[in-house]
Amino acid sequence: MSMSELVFIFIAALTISSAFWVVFSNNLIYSAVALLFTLFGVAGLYVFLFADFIAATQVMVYVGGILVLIIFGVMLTNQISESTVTQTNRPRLLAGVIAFIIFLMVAYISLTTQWHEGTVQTAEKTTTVIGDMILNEYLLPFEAVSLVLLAALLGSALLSRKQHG
Amino acid sequence: MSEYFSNIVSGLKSFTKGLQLTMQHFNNRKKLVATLQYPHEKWPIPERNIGFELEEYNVIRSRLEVDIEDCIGCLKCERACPVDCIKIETIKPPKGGDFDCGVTTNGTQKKMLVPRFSIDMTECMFCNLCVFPCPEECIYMVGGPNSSKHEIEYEFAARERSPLIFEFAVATEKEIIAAGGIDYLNKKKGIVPDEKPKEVKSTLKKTEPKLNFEAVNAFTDRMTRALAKKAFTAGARAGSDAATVATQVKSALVDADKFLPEYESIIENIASSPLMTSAGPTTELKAKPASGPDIKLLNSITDKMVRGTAKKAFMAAKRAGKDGAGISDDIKKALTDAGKLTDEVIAILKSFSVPGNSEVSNESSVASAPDIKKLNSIEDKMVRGLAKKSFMAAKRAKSSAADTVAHILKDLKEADKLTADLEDIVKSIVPDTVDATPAPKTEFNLDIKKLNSIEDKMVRGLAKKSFMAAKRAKNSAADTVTNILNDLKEADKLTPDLEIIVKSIAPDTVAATQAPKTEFNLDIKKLNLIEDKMIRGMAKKAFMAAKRAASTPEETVAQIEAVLKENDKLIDEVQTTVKSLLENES
Amino acid sequence: MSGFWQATMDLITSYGSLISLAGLAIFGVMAVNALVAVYFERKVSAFMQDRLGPMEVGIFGFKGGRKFWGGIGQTLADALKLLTKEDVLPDKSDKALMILSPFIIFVGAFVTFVGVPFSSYLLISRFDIGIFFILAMSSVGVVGIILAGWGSNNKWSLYGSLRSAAQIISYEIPAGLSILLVVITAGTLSIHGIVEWQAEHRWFIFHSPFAFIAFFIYFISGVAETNRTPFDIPEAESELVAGWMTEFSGFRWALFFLSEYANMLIISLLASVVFLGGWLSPMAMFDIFPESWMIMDGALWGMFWLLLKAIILIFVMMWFRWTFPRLRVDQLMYLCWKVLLPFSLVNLVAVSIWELLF
Repeated sequence: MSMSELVFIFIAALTISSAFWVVFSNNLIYSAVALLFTLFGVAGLYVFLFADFIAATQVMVYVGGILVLIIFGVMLTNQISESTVTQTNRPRLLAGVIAFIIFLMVAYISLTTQWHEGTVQTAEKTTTVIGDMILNEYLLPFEAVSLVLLAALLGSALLSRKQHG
Repeated sequence: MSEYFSNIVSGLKSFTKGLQLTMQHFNNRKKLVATLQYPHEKWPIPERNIGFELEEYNVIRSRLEVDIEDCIGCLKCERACPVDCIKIETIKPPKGGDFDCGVTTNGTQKKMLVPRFSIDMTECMFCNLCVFPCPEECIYMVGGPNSSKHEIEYEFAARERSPLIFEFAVATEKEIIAAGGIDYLNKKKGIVPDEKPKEVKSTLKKTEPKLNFEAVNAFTDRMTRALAKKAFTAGARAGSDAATVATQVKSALVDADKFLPEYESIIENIASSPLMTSAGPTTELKAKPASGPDIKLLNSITDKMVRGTAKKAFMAAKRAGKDGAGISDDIKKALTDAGKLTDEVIAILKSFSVPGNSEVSNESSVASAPDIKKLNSIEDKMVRGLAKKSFMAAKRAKSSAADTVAHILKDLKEADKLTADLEDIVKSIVPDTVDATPAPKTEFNLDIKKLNSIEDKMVRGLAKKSFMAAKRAKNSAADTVTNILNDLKEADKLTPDLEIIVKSIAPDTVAATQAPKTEFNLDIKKLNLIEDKMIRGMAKKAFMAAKRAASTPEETVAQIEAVLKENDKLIDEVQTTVKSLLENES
Repeated sequence: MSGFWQATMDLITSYGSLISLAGLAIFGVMAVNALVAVYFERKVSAFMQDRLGPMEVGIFGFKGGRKFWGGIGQTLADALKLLTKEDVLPDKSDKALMILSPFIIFVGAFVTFVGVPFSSYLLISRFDIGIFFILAMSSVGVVGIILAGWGSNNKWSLYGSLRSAAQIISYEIPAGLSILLVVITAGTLSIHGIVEWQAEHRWFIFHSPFAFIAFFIYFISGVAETNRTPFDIPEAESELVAGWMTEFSGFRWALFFLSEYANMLIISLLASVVFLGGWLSPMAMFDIFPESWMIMDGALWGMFWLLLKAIILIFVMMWFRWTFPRLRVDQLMYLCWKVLLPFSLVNLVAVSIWELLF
């Protein structure tokens, strides 16, 4: 077992355990805190894939942006300090069954896929590759995503406008 | 849109303007800093001018001050203090001893020596309650009415507590020992008292109470017993014999209506008991030192350690029953063992071997006894205190009259307080020596006080010294002046200003050399025009200094300006104000 | 399983010392920075207000007569005092969050230092995406601030933390856009790449008028991100006591302090690297100096120049703080969204065109 594997195990364990905490915690704020660790763990996993740009983006967008917005939302919720506000849904059995089916699907896919194996491959400059890919090969999805974001922006501006009449 | 951009532009303008402002202050920090690092730096205290006389200004209670020379140790102030911030300890000299506690300025004979008189100003709440009970008016609050006694202090901040505990007592260790306070000293130092005093105490206790109360204790009733004891001890203390005591006890009981017939036998018992009063052992003890040399002679040894060793050896030899010569041999031996034998000690020890030597010298000094009361004609309190102190010291050292005078004069000179008048007074304490000196003195009418206007302490000292030398040599006025000038020249301290001052001491010579000095009549009130309080204070201070130095108007102005310039406060307006002093003068 | 333990041991023995050494170095820099910066802050504020500031503690006391250096030991004494203070956790607070949040903030500043250079050779790790990493990691602290305000269970703390979060998130955008200018000009995210570009051409602040404006936009946003006056509404003393720091004491409060001053240093270092030529000496920019002066571009000199630039910028931050009054919340948002953001967007376009033209 090599050192990198050891670190991988640690990060993976952190990600999974904190993800469980996010789901099962009775306190929304604690869930958000756990999400912080999950997101960081995922960023760490990206680093293992030599995707340092993606890892940094993960931290910047998800930790610095989305997580903060989530906590904002939680805090602005009414009666947040009462512990009755939890995120577990009533039909637990149904949710459990669906989650299990999804798990089976993911497991099946990951077991049957032909993974790339071989010596560790270091990308020279990830950013160059990413830019090249986005603006050549995946231009259409990229533009589509920007359209979606624009729509979201406009929608939120419309919602936050004062209602006239 | 244009409003948007003009907003940004005006924002940028105010942005830079604000930054410039703070940067100016940052750059000029040395000139602009207003902070006073208080315990290290202090503003000069402005001359007090609040509209009426200082003497009427009764409100100031700045701190307590004690004239310890006047304190009789009555403890009234200590008792009056509501917060117990005054601590006084007294020693009562033994009766019949030759220790003189001194006389207060009111003429009261002091009966106590005050080795400790401390006031804790951190506890004092300035209530003034201790001031009123004092019978000698020696404790007072430093304030308006007392400004002549003590300068008002406006602040006495300190970093620790200890400097705020004022100790006023001046009694030296020697004095305390002389007053019989050796136990007090030892207790203070934490030393267990010597064996000897313990013995005395124990024998006293053993002999007296035992005999007392065995007989008296026979009374069964408590009240009666107490009464009897009281009467008994009263009688015993008065030194009555057993029979008298017995009758006293009886009469006391009869008076209190407590006497029962069965007590008769007890009273008889008391009468027949061999009563031994305290008089017995004490007289015995007192008799002993009278025959041999006196341990007090050793007190003149200055070194503490040596003194201790000598005393120890003395006591040991005495207990062994040796005579004067034997004792001195023993002490010498002990000191040589300790490697402390000095010439001084040998000289002292010599007086031991001649029996009765000390008494003889005592008598001689008594014969020509200089009179301390003559010193009371000294006006300045401080100087008087000093003179008296050194007088007492000399007396204790059993100096001759002439030595005493020399001693006092030396002490005064050291304290820089010696004036010609003073010397006369001091010399007057010895009648025979004085007779010769005053006659030619009338000729010598130079005024040493004029030298006080010399500012530099060192130079002043030098000038005064040569003045006194000339005086003693009975020189003429002109010779004196030249003498002083020569001395100063030798010491390389002679400046033109100085020369004028020195010459001023001889009135006749001055008339020629110095232009008629205009009276110093500049008006300090003109300085009130200065608006800044600080600057005004500084200017006034410089003004007063110049006045004291009897400067000319021009010099005064120049001095004030120099002071202000040093402190970087010389603004144009101030300068014109200062100059205006001169204009109105002319 | 034995392989697991073997690997753990290997990790600790081979990399453990290296990692802890780096960590200690970063912590040392942060601590020394806080000590010195607090002292300078107090001195600068004092001089700008015609005072003397701390004068008593330290080797250059008043008696030494060196007025400026008086009280140099003051911050050390304050730090010792902070460490010995009682650690108070209010009764109704969320204790877990109260304990956790200072460490999140501290870790945010701490990890950022991994990418921050002190000279061309003196840095913990040389990333390809250095600037992006620094920006990303410095945004982690916000979470800690929000959690600190929430955990305190105090309305002032909550207000302060919400204001702080809103402010930091808002001002990240103009700051990021300004740095983006440099990135598209130099064509790299690597710090070394950017400095090399500046070595070849000129300091970026002199690249074009737009880059000049971009520097100020970045710097103002940076000041806002560190929650310093005039952008200190999160801890506005007159309104919120101390904002999200109100309920903290002792060591955990000291961590806040450490992080605040570390963030100041990060912002200044980044600004000097990106806009002011990093570890390049001013002489290297102009060719008027003799060749022998170029010796001042060595490794140690590089550190000197970089730190000098950073210290000047830190001084400017202090200068701002003791000059300007605090902005209102709406003014703050106005400045960000209506002034800085449009200008940086215009800048972005303009610099791109500039690059195409020249």
